[in-house]
Amino acid sequence: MRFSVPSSRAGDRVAAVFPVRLLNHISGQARPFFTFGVVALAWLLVPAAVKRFTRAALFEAQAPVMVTVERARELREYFVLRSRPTGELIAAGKETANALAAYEVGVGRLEQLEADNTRLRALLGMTPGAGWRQEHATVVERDLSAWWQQLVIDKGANHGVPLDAPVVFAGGVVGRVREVRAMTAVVALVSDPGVRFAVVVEGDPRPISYTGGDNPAFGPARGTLEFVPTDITVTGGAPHRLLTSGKGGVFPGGLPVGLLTHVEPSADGLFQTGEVLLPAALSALDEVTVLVPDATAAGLFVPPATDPKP
Amino acid sequence: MSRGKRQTLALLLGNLILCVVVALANHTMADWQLRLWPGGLLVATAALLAGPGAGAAAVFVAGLALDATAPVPFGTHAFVLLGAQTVFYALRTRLMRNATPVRVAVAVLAGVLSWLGLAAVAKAAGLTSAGAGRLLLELAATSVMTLLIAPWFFALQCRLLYLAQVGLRAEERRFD
Amino acid sequence: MSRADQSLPDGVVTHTGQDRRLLVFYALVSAVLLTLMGGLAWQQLLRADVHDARERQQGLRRVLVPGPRGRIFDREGRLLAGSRPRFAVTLALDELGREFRAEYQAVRQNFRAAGEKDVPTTAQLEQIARTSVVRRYLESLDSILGRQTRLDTAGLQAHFSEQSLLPYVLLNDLTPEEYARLLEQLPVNSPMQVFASSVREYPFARLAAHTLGYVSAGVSREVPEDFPGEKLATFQLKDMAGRDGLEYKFEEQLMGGVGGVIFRVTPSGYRINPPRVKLAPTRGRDLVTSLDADLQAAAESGLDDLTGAAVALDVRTGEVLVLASSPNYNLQDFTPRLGSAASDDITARGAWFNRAVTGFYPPGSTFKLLTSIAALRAGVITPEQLMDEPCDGRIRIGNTWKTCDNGDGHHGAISLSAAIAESCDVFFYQLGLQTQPERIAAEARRFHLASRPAIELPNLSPKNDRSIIPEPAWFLRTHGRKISDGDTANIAIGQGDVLVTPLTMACFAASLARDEIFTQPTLLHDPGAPAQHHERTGLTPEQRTALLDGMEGCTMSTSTVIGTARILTAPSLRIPGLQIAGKTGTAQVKDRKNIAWFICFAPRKNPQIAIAVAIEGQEAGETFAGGAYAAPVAQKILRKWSEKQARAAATAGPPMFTLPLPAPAP
Repeated sequence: MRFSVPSSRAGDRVAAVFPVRLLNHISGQARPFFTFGVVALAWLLVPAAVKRFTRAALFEAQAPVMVTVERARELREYFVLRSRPTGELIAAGKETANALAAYEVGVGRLEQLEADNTRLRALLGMTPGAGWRQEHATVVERDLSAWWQQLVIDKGANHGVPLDAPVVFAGGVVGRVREVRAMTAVVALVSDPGVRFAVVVEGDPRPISYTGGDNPAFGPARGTLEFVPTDITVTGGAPHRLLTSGKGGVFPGGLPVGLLTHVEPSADGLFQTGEVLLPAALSALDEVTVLVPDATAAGLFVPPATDPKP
Repeated sequence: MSRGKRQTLALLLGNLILCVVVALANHTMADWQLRLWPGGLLVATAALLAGPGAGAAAVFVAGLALDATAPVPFGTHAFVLLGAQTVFYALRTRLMRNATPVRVAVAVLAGVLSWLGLAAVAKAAGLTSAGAGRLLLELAATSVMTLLIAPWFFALQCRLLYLAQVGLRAEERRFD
Repeated sequence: MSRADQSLPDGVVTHTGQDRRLLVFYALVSAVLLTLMGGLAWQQLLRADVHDARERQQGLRRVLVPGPRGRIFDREGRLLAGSRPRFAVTLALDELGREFRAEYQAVRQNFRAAGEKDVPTTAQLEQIARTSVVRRYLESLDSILGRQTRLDTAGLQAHFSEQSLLPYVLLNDLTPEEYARLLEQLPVNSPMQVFASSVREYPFARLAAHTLGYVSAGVSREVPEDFPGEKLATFQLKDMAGRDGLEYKFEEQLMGGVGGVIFRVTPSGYRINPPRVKLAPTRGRDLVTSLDADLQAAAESGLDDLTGAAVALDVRTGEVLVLASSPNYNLQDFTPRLGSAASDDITARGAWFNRAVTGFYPPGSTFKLLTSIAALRAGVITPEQLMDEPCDGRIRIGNTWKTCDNGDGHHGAISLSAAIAESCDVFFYQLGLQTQPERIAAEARRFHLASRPAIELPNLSPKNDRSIIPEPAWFLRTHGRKISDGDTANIAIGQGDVLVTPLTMACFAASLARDEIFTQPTLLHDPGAPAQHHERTGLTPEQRTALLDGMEGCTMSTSTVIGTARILTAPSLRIPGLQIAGKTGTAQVKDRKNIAWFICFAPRKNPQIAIAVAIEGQEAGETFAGGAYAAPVAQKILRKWSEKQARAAATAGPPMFTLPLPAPAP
């Protein structure tokens, strides 16, 4: 392509002719690289707000596709199930009914305990912390790269999912909401290097720093611990269970995180660093639950915020 | 709509379809902690056969679409892909670019190049990553994937371009 | 299209995809290119470290971290001094360059927009900008923690001008809850990070404060010569060092080895992980003292608000079980640093002195034991022999009347044993005069009473050893006169110029227990320590029996005599089943505070523990008897000791002094 200068006025022409000549001089193979450089420079000058908007728009544009793909996947499941013999399905239904009955009994007991707990806390003058509303969501996309590990779920701002909300599944912690869109949200997995929270070794109150990261191929995801007290030792056969501390203000306490499989002295000599094996199910999740902080909801309690110091 | 724009849209559509398919594959392969990178395929046709502006735009927008869902500075994928596209665009007059094997080879090479670019950017940005073993394994898996699906993808792109009435045969005639 | 395209020879097009040889050529080229890219990948991914090392050194930073200090345990493995992590939030100022600049521009713009005449200088503007940026970060912390923190602007400026590349500590001493909140709510890549340092911790707070000593922070350690990167920009975290007591004496052993990391930073100052070099600092070696925390606590509870010292030794090995001095101070006040108020308080209470080793007191009647030994060995008296002149409460020596302060003149004609038991001054005046001062002084020197025994504590040089055992030559030298009979009589009962430390007397008691002349005390515990052996005292069995009878009588007397022994006759102060050989003493110092003494060892047969207690009277001239004040302290120690003995015997598990100790760090 050749650049020409609109020749309206002589004065302009003199001013503009030099750069255009220069451009035309850059010919042949150098030109694509030159263009690349110009685009890159231009990109740097684009205001951050514009970039943010573009990013959000592009995400929202993809969201329906992701959800549709997920629905297609569900449809496939549906047809897979339909191809099963009816007898098998009836048997499965019975099994489910049995399980449901057992759970109903359990739920009744839990409700009883919860009522007791609330009453006792009231007697002790403990203010109930914010509760959590459970928002169940389907994973529409799993994106587990070498640098980040995240899920896209099909609940977003429309269901009141807030930023930074904890996400859990039956096996424990899934991660934290990193991005909220209209109909979807991005969840950073516990194996993501950008996720950090306070955990405790089961049976020990001291909070320890957990950070995700280092996820080898063909293996369960991993995380690292920092500030592990030196008196915590790991023997080969008996790894410690790690639970959320409940003191950090984001995650409720007592949720399983993973297993502490190895510790070694840290660089500062005061502590140890540890290696955490995360549940294998984490990288194949289909359903997760977002815990939406809700003052009116009962259930999971978190300790009240630390009192302001004078 | 101008010819160039139709070409861009056709290529972009192909690229976005590829992104969806690869995301689907990645979703399924997540359990293995392996992630495929479609970069080479996004770049190959745009670099070798498309018009200069049209190809670059298709690649850049596809890159931005990838950026939108990744926790990296917005534009990272776009510029890595654009860089690869630029390299092969500059080389294309010296390549026998109508031959499918050449295009497949370029797709593989562009995939490796853009992937390394991405790794370098991630490293410079201080993103902690998994060990080198995983990175090399992903690179190999990506190359194999590119090798296997490139002919089908090129056929798809061809089809889309014909539907947009900017068939590659016409392009080839035009550019060569 | 471009000229390059148009100028292509047509031949390229005609051959497209047709020539098989060309395809082979392309395959070859591809293979070569792939190999090249593979090589690039290899270099980029696997050999990155090697290349990084070749990068400019300006991109590298070295951070040195002192190793944690070794711990101090008591003989049963209880932690007396350890290190506790202290969590802080630091702000990496070197990552905020861009923010500071932006704030600077904004502040300057504001000043200009406001049209103020005296716009601050650039330096002032920079300072304002920095402060407001840092304050913003602090406010974000406060909102996470729900607290209000005042920004120390002066400290921030000082930090900026001196060490702006080291992280600035925004908040210190986080509680575990605060620490957990910050972990969870600060972004992983925030310039604010949770940071842990170590401070000294004393689980028993006041226990053995003088003996353990304290540390002070802010010490730069020498970097080991073999530590790489000496030319790099280096940031060294300060360590703490012992300033008194065992912490100071064993500094070399307790201090940790410097470790550190060298890491690369991006041009914008961000740290790139993993570090290039990583040397783990090493923990200092642990120290196992001979102290017994239980006995020490018993002694200190006995001393309570009294002023004085108590020392207990393991008779067999000379290991110090108790080394207590009162008043004392709380070692926890020294971490992270001692405030001036607390320091002034310690000074006002006179609590800095370790009276067990720096308190020089006249030994009073406890010295009568030595006078007895000198007399027995000199053949001046036999165990059965009664003193020429019976005690009726006073005796004329030279031109003055000297009184017997104990027994109100009821002693009468008594033997050596009874005189020791009832601490008859009149008896010992005569005995001293008969023995001669030279012999008493020689005997005292033979028993190493003339100098303070060496022990593993700092600042105990012979120069500041004020121990005195007077003899005729000393009198001539010091007072410029000959020693008189009155002086000799005083020396015989441990008054006048005689000065010893509680530690000296404890060693004396332990020596007597073993029937030897010396005991070398030590503060280090060795589970397999051999028994000490020194020269025997030279007393015949009969003589020793008489001496010990007197000492046991002193503690077990059921007579109604009043004086030094009376307190121990109270049933509540007895320890069932334990025969204690002891001697009370009250040194009456003219115009100065009286000193109450008690030295003892137990059990009488096969002695195991020797104790010396010295208590300063509160006011000059008051009646202040050893039996009333010093003996109960010793008695508390003994009670605890015999309890532990009984428990050890009952459990019949591992022997008391060889409980498993934490393995010292290599």
